[in-house]
Amino acid sequence: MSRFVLRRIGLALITLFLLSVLVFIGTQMLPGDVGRRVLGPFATQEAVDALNARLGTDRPLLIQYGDWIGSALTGDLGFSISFSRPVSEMLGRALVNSFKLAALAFVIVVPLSLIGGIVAALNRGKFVDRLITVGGLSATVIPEFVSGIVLIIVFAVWLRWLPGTATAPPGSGFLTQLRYLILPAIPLVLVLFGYIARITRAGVIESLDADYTRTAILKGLPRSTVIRRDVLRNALLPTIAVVASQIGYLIGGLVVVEVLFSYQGVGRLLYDAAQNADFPLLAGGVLVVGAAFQVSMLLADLAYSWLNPRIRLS
Amino acid sequence: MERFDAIRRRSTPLQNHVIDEVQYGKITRREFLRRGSLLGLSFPVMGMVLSACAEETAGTTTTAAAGATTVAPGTTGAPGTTAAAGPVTVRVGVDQTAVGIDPVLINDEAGLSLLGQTAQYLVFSDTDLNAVPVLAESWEPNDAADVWTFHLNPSATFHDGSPVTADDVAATFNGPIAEGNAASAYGTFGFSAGNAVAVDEMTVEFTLDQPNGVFPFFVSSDNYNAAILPVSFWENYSEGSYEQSFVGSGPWINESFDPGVSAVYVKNEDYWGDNSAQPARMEVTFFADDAAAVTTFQEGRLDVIHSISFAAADALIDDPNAIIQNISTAQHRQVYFDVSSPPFDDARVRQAIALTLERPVLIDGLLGGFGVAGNDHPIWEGYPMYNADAVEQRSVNLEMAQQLLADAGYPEGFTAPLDTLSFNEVEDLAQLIQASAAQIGVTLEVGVYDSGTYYSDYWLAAAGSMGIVNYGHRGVPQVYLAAPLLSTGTWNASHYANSDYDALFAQFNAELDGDAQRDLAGQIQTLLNEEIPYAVPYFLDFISVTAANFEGLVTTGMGHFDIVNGGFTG
Repeated sequence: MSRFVLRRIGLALITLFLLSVLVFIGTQMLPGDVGRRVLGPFATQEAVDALNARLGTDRPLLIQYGDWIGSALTGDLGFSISFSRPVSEMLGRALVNSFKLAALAFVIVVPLSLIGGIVAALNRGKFVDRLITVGGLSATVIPEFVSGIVLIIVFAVWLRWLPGTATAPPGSGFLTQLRYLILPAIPLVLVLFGYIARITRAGVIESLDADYTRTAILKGLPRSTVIRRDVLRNALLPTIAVVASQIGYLIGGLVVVEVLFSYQGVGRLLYDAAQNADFPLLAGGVLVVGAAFQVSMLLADLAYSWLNPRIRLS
Repeated sequence: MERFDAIRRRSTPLQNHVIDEVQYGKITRREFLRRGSLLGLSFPVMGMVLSACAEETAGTTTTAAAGATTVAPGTTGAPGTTAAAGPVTVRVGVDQTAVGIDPVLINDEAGLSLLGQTAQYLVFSDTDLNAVPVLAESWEPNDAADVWTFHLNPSATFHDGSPVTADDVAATFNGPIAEGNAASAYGTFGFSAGNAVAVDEMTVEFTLDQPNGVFPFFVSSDNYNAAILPVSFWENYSEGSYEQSFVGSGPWINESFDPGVSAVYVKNEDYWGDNSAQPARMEVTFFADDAAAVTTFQEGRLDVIHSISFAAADALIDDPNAIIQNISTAQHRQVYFDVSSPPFDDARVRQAIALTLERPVLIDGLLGGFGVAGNDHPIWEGYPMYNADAVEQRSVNLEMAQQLLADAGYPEGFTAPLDTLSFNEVEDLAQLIQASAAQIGVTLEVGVYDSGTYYSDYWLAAAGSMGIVNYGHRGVPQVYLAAPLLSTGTWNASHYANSDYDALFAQFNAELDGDAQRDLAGQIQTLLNEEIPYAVPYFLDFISVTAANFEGLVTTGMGHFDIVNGGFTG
């Protein structure tokens, strides 16, 4: 088990390294140089050259990369070029924000879609099943900006029940912050519900049809016990992998929702960094999102093995 | 009358010339205020001149210091605003800043608007195009207008109580901004590093590279890099260091700043000017897009939206709780032609395209009416030197356009690229120009790029093409007339080179006399309207929004905002 974990961590580090190279090459391919992007179109070429020299962005690529990776390995992610602030400070705040939103979305969507999937499977072919599968699928295909705008107009502008922006005033308590995050969490719930519910439904149906379930029923065990002990335990395996794979998306991929609800999460920060060709911020952010992704996958694998003793992680 | 004579004696020949002009009714009072302020006459002195003139002409005693309508941040008291009981907090929505708040790197409207809360300028270029004294209480040029002397306001102090001195001013203009260092507007000052010299503790002298009759605007709030900060700040400057202290001489003190999220300002209790009516606190929220600002406003969680697009303002027009506050500005889009290669090397082709543009339709459709028609030169009708008689407004004439194209050798039209950036309504403008040009057989292939790609790969580079670029407001038109049009111009996307124009501009720039300026401006308007290195379809308004119960928001075309005299009514 520990060998498995170590191997996974090793692989994760290699992946992150490759990711950093890709991001570095990617930012170099962005049109326009860094000094020009910071100073804007109307600065003189002299000023742009001077800034590039000071930032070191006029040096050979390998040296720039070597410099950056060297510091990154010691935990120093450098300074954001456009904001002139430590990357770690900016990312730290954004990560906390992203985690809050992701956690709320998870807390709502995971139980909801599990229950939905199970209920659908147990009522296979009936109206409830159709409602959950078709409804969930329809919700999944609504882009976040459509559902987000509708939610804002209805609940923030017309009814004024909930705020239409996600950032609570500084120093707000838990409940206030929660109130601000409800509307932005709903589009995420809509996107994820159909997907997770369908996977759960498929898993449950498969388990219901399996030999061990029939055996358990023939043994005379009560239906609720069979479902709890035999069906769910097996049915949830694929669901866990699916849920874990969404963590990366929730941490770093919410550009649309974050812009729409004016929320400073990692997704929006990365988007701004890419627009400004702000390599230190972009690379730092991508590494952090990559790491979050790796950690969530590792946790999923561990949970998988815990639920399924047939898998030996070695 | 004795005081009037005393003013006459103390004034320079140029100042006396302006006084003559208003005395004999050659210029309006408003224009007198503007030009007098530029030449260094103080507002109290101009008030005395105006009342003396009024006595002379009407024989009555009118006290008509119209200068009182000009408000520099926090320099006058609140005009009739009822302050609510208790400490007042004003909540302002501002666009997300493009870069940090840094007096050297800053180049966006949102960042500039926040810098202006804590830092101040020698001169404030106000909504009515006056050069209003702030840290400088007066100034004057030499006769050739290539040396300008500024006298600082002795009462002005920084947040720590230390006085604003000539050394601070010299350090600002000779320091990191100029020292071969990177500043976004470096190069627009018109003087070389080291040429801002502290003559004594309260006097600064600028020796310019070229004569410049409107120089105070070049070191005013019109320039991104002209905020005056203490010597100690400049000595320890590094990128981002401003956000450590937010030092300045302004009426607000920064309490917190979270980039992209929020900023909080509190009233500077020891402000050197009169800020008795100032709200206690200002909470700024940043918005990545206008729609979020509008919904937050509709929820009642904002009192002011600093700047908003025409499209977003539309959502608030019928809202009884919203007051749309628009000011006319010189901001415009330049639709440039590459005049160095075919097909646009022939002025008739450029005229033909310009003749297809239905300007009133563009203004209604793209700007919701918040703008005025341009006449293919950048001298906006709000400028005092604008010459209304110079050239007739160009309007649609497809027949003439066809004829011009045929004369130029393109009877069947031609195909050319039209490149631009994705920015506010510019993309739609490109589509409408494409549709207009199609009426005379010209096929324009529209390419829209993000601003980084556009400015690096298309703006100055593309040959044989058209393009659209944005120019923000300035209190004087020099910026639009120099870099994009001079043969040595650094932003000359048209590749326009005309020695007659270069000479005309040099003459215009050096001219101090108002009549002569207007005359030269007329010649420039005529020449550019005829030659069209770039077309100017319209000038845009600057739009802000306030809650119906909020009064006292002052904005400028550059995007500065001031609520020092703001407050809630009722």
